[in-house]
Amino acid sequence: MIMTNQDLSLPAWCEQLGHHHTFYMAVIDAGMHLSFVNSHFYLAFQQITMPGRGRLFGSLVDDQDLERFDNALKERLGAAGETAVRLRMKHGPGKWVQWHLRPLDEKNGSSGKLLCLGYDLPKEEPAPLSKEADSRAIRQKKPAESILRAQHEERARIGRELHDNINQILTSAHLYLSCLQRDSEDFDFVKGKAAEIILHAVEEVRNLSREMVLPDFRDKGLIRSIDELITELRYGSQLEIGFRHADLLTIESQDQQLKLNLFRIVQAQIRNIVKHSRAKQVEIGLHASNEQVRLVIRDNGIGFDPATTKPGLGLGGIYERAAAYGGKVILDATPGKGCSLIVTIPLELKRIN
Amino acid sequence: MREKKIVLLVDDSMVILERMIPMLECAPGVELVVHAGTYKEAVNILECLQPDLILLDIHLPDRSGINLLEYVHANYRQIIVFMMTSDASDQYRTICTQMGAHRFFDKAIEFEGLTEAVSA
Repeated sequence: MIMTNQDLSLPAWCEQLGHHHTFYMAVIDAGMHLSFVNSHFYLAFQQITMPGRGRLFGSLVDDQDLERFDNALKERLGAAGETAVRLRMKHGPGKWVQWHLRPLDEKNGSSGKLLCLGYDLPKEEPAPLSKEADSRAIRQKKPAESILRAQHEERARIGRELHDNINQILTSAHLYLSCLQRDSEDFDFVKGKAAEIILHAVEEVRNLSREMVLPDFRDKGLIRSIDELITELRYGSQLEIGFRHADLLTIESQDQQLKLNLFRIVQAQIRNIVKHSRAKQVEIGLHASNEQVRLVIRDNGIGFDPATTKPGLGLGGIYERAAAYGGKVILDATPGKGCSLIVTIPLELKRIN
Repeated sequence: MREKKIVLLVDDSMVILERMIPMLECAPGVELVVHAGTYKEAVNILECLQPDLILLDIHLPDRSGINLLEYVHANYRQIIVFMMTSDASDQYRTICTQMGAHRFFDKAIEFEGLTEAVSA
């Protein structure tokens, strides 16, 4: 699968752009007028974001770069895709800011507005950047970079899980506890509810930490680790999971890093299946010859249409991990007919480079 | 209130933000939307900008949105606050209304009505 920028939703786009916690985010129209800014933008460029100041994005940009920005704006208005442009800023904490521009209405650009994401660059003048932020770059990444990206995505997922899930559960518990009144007739109900919610949080933390712990392949091997993963899942869900593998020696003689990545792929795909597919049965096949390792994960769930489904973080990580070993990923899914994920990794190459 | 509103949106979910930006972009009568992802960011913004309206999520990463509601009510009583949550139990509604929230929206089912309420 080739990820184009058009496939990316805002959260995925922000994550793809980097590990910058302090994004500037703004929405501008054809006349560069600002209608939406995030707090980082507001606080950095306060002078012009104050009410009654006209709020023109152009008045932030150094005169030398204004024409370049105007060109980028014209190129992207009403046309799908993404334009990256590095600009010297007149105001703000840093001189150079890397901006990424995308039409707000991705499908046809008809809103006439652009969403701009930006982050500060180091003080010295950066190397020139090609005009278009090209998705090809994603495919041509070096293996180490792919693994790092996959790890970053995983961290982002865990962060989101902690925040969106566990944090919310605990906030609910806090709210129940804060309205607990000794003499109220609801006392027992509210107390019981709070206790129940906290137990739920404990269970969620347990699940998450189990996923985070790396299996030790030197002791256990990959096959046994996958077997254990399946056993754990049998307890927790109605899923019936079959696992076939051959040849054990060839599989276990691969390097630890490759085995870890295969394990992570299995883990990610199973997570996708449990979360989205409503499947009852899953078949996992892991086969290694002298030439290649082939991992197949098939489910009988509701399937989906790959053409219209945005690649979530789970799938993105799978592609990155396979790419790190020069491998290929085929995702064969049809609505109503389940999904097959096939990952092939050539062994004579092991790692490119 | 100004003729055109300044809205402060406090919510840390990127997915919600993705839905809210286009919606607020076409809400008549809104001049500028400033977004804050945390309690702390919102307080920093409030120190230099007084919005007409705050759209506030109950769940924030650093402190609860209800703490922020309390802070706004104590320091900027003139600002209208709409609470947004995906857990719109009656208990929350009661707490927030008692603490000065003007409206309460369930993100799951009342999202559509929000544009209208913001523009009113």
